[in-house]
Amino acid sequence: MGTFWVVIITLEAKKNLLTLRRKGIIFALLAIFPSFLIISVISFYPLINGLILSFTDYKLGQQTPAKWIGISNYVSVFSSSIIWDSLGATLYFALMVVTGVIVIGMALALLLNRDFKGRAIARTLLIVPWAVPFFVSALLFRWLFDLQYGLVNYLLKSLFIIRANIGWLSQSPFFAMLSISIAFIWRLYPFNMVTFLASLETVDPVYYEVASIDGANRVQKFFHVTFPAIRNTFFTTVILDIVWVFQEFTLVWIMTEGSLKTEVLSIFVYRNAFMSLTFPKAAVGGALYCILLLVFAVIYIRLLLRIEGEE
Amino acid sequence: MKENKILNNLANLILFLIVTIMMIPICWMIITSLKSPDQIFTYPPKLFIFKVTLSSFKEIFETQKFLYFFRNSLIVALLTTVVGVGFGIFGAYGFSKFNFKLKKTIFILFLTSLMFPWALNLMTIYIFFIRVGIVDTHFGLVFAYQCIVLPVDIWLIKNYFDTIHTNITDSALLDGCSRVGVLFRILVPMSLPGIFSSAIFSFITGWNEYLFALTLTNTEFARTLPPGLYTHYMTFVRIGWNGLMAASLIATIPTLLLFLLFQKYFIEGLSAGAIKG
Repeated sequence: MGTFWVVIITLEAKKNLLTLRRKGIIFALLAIFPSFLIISVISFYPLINGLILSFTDYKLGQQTPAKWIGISNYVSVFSSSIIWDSLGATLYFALMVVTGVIVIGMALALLLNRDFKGRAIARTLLIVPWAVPFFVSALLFRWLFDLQYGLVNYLLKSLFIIRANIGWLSQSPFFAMLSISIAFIWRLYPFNMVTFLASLETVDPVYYEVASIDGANRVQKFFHVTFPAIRNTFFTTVILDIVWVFQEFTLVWIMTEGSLKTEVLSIFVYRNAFMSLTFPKAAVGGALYCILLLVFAVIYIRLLLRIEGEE
Repeated sequence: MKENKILNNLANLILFLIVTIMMIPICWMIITSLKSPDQIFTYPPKLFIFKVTLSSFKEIFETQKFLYFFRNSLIVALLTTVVGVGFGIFGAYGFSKFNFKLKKTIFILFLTSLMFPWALNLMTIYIFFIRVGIVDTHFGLVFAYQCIVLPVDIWLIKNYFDTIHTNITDSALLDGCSRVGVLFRILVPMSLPGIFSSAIFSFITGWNEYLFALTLTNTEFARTLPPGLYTHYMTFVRIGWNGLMAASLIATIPTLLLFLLFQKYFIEGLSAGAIKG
């Protein structure tokens, strides 16, 4: 008799749980709805509308509806060299900066992942650039790279590396790109360092001991023990780096305003949209931008799904 | 063993050099802010021995403009945090503890939206804001920032909610606790690092953001520090670097404090996200 009641009670509880779960779905939808609405209005809709704009002759403030003019915006934008320079600059920064932050971030993570006096201080100091607001670091680097009174020229001259002042942000595309990349790396390396370090700390020391017994040297240990263990974090971080570099506007705008061929795609879109007020032309740049980002978005999602699957 | 010791010392030396190099810009900012205008434009620049003056700071606080931008930044950053974390907590609950059709798809769409080109989206947001009449308002900026903040907040908080087993939440429900009760009595207290890190992320985004702030504010009414400082100081023939660096230094203090105070939470929350994906 006792077991009977237990069965009844558990069944009852299960039923309760099921009804609770069903009601829960309504609650879940209500919980997500505000976020969904907000993101739709300021992310999904603007993206679609922006892409539609690129096929029209829309003018800001016009009363009549915009006319559909097919791909003629694309033809006119892609036939000038400006957009190709933009694409080049964007890819250049992505390559330079991402390589730079991976190397520096990983090196620092490995250096910090040891026991030594002053570890906490070193780590805190190294994170500080991250805490500096982006626009501040942009202004700061513009001042550091100043032609006449900048610190960089002064230091390089005192160390006899250069003889005459370099116009970092005014002389040639090469120096402008280089200075912006340096500023970029300074700003972005702490994120890489922190995520790499956090994942290094999760690697079980037993693996290293086993590798030592097998006679592995430091380099072998890194590639056969460390790297496989932090692979997922590594790739997630790299993808986020790439996307951030692609999205960047502030740094380049404040340092050069896009002069000397440093006009990245975000500046191309901004200039055409809000300075020349030619929205459709800007939208074409945006469409190109979208394709680039989409490639990395797909890689990112596949990575996420793979990581979820591994768990 | 001896070889190990040498290597260790070498590693310390390299680390010391890198730390020094990375700190140079910050030191330069501080030194510049303590100089008078005529000391800025001398060559060679005096690095250590110069007349320290606080005149740049005094000037900033007397011109009102800076304080005005600072206040706007504070309002926008705080509201961005409240809205982002508030909706983020509910969103994370929905994604973490319930199963429904298209859940995964919607979640991935949210994360993908972070990769939409913001410059492109800004055009439509601008047109939309003009039509609704929220250009040049704090509300408008806070609303626009949610496209950056909300997906990240949901994601960071969800990572923590995911680690709490459904058994705990289910038994609380069977004991007659309401869903909102479960959320605020069980899930939120157990996920404070995640909530902290998303709050810090939201605040910093509101504080740092430049492109939206530049475009969505036409006058000084709601203009925040990033575009405010740039347009205010860059219009001079000779840029007043001492004033600009002093202002920048003060603008850095709030985010720097957040980082130093909550470093542990921030790193923990962030790496929970990054390690998991």
